[in-house]
Amino acid sequence: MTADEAVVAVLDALEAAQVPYMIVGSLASNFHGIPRSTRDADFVVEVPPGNLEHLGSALPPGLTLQRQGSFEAVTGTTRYLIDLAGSPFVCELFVRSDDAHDRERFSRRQRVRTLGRVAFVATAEDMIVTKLRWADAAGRSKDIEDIRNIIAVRGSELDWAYVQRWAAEHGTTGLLEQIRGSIPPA
Amino acid sequence: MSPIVALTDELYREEVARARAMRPEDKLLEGPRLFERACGVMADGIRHQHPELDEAGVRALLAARLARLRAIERR
Repeated sequence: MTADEAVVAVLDALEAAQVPYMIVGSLASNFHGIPRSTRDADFVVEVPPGNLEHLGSALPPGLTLQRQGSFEAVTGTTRYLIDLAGSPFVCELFVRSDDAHDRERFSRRQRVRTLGRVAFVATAEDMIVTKLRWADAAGRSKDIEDIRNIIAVRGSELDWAYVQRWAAEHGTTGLLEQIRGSIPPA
Repeated sequence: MSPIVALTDELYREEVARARAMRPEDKLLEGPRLFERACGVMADGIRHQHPELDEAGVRALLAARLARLRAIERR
């Protein structure tokens, strides 16, 4: 199984197991912005802690859900890994936290028709808000690049009032303006 | 504006235009595909550097290099 086939298989398993989810991370950035290489596929799932057992049995051979979730310090959530046999590629499931923006972005997830199926993806605005937070806290250059690319590709279609409200809440307005200012005019 | 800035801006505008022309579902799966291609090239480099390694050894060294890259990114 290839890495892109693994992503599709995880989407199908989440649907089959009736686990509410949304695609986040670089997959969602690629969806809204400019595609780049990524070694993992990230999903946010809405399940009670320890209640992902049935997902494991919905996965095809070659994909294995690690039963033990780990606490993820950066996001403050529990993370479960799905390994792809013989590959360094990994799928990561983050349990939705009680953080105010985490709750709102999950409620705003987009239902999109893609890859011949219905899938749920975090909105472009919520990807910007989340990645601003990560870039501010962890200083990862790829988060800044992802934000820049989403803004450049989606531009005026974005709900700027929503982005600015959360940026103000998170104290990332300065970083947002800095990134916007770095985008060459069309 | 310096010629270098003008060029990088123009290259970026072209990159944005290409992304806008792609189907979102193709963009969604492009990340994992690019990663696999990059791993294939990295593995070729390891085989060239270490012809004595078998496939398990190549995979182990590839995993170690990826782990090192991840650690650097997280700094």
